[in-house]
Amino acid sequence: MPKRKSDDSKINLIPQKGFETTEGGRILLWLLSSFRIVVIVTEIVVMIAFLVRFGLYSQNTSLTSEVKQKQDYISSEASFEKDFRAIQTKLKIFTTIANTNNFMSNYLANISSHIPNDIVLKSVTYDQKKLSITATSPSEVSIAQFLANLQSVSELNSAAIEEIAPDVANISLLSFVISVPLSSNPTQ
Amino acid sequence: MRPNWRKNYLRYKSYFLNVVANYEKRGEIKAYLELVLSLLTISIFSVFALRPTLLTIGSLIKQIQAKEEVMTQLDQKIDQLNQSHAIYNNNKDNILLLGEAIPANAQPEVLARQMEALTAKYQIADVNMTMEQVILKGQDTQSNTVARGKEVLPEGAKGYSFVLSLEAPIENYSLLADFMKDFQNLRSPIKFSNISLSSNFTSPENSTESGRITIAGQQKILVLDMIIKGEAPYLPKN
Repeated sequence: MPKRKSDDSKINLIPQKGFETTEGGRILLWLLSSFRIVVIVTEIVVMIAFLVRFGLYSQNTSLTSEVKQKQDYISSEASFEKDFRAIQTKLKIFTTIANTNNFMSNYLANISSHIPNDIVLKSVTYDQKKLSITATSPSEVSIAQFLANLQSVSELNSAAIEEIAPDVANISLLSFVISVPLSSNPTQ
Repeated sequence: MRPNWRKNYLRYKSYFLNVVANYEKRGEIKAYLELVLSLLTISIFSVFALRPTLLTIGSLIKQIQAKEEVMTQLDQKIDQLNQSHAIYNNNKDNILLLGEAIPANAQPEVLARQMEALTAKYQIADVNMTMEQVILKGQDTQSNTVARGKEVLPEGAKGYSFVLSLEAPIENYSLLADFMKDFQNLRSPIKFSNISLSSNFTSPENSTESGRITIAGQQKILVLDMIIKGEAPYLPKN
């Protein structure tokens, strides 16, 4: 048994003397010096990572509280916001109606100022974006004149005779209907 | 006989105890040991410290970016709210008028009073006003006015219909045109669906207007009839 023990101690794959001078030894030494730097750099990186993490934590926390604060402010203004939105809707409704409908008085004024003397108006009707003028005239010339007058009005897009026939009450007169399609709002 | 593990334990114990002594004496052991320890240190740092920290940093950066985006939107909203306050304060009077023009509930009596005042201003005596069904309390089951065959009001608005009939002497054509102009400019905006102006003969029982004529032995007077159909809007509170 003691003999075997001494045999075991003799086995050594690494050369015991002159190791530093061998190729393997030099590589190992170079590796060691490099790894020392790598370890130091790793430690520095870890420390920086921790510091950055703490910094980000702090930034995140402050952002969370700031967001909460702003959300609270906005929540407190919710009723005002609702009222303001209602005002905006009302304004939109008002503007839409005011812009599309306020023109009848202009049309009435235009019709009365462009009507020839011998034409008698029976009715003026506005319905579904169309203006219908029913009138009687003793001659076709007056009707043509009235039509031309209406067509010259810039606020009216076009005017056309829809119907023309002898008047039921007085056959010496011509009863006619002029139709004016309304597509845009005339200038007030 | 000693158990096998104890024998091995004693053997390896002696190896480990000798490591320090060998570390001092033998360069190759020193070199390998330092190499192994260095690798071990780097691995431990990488697995237990760097990796979770980097993952946390990544997640934190994402959270911060999301919150910064939210902050930008919140700031924008707060700016708009401040602007809204300024606009509201500068236009308080007009907003009050707008509230009267488009109330939260149907107010046919207010519209009727305005029409009454207007007809009185133009001294139109023969006035007839009819209101259609008005929801004074509760909610309208028909959400859109199209369903009732009326003119379409702007989105969100509800309305109640009315018919106003007027009669004026034939020579008051321009007066009716002026009346119409004022009617368009009432505080309550009106969505007109039909306006008709026609001349008719009527009995001059209670009138003293000129233009009387005799038809089949009866005295008649030529008058202008104006019929205005429209809808007054209101905006219910949600």
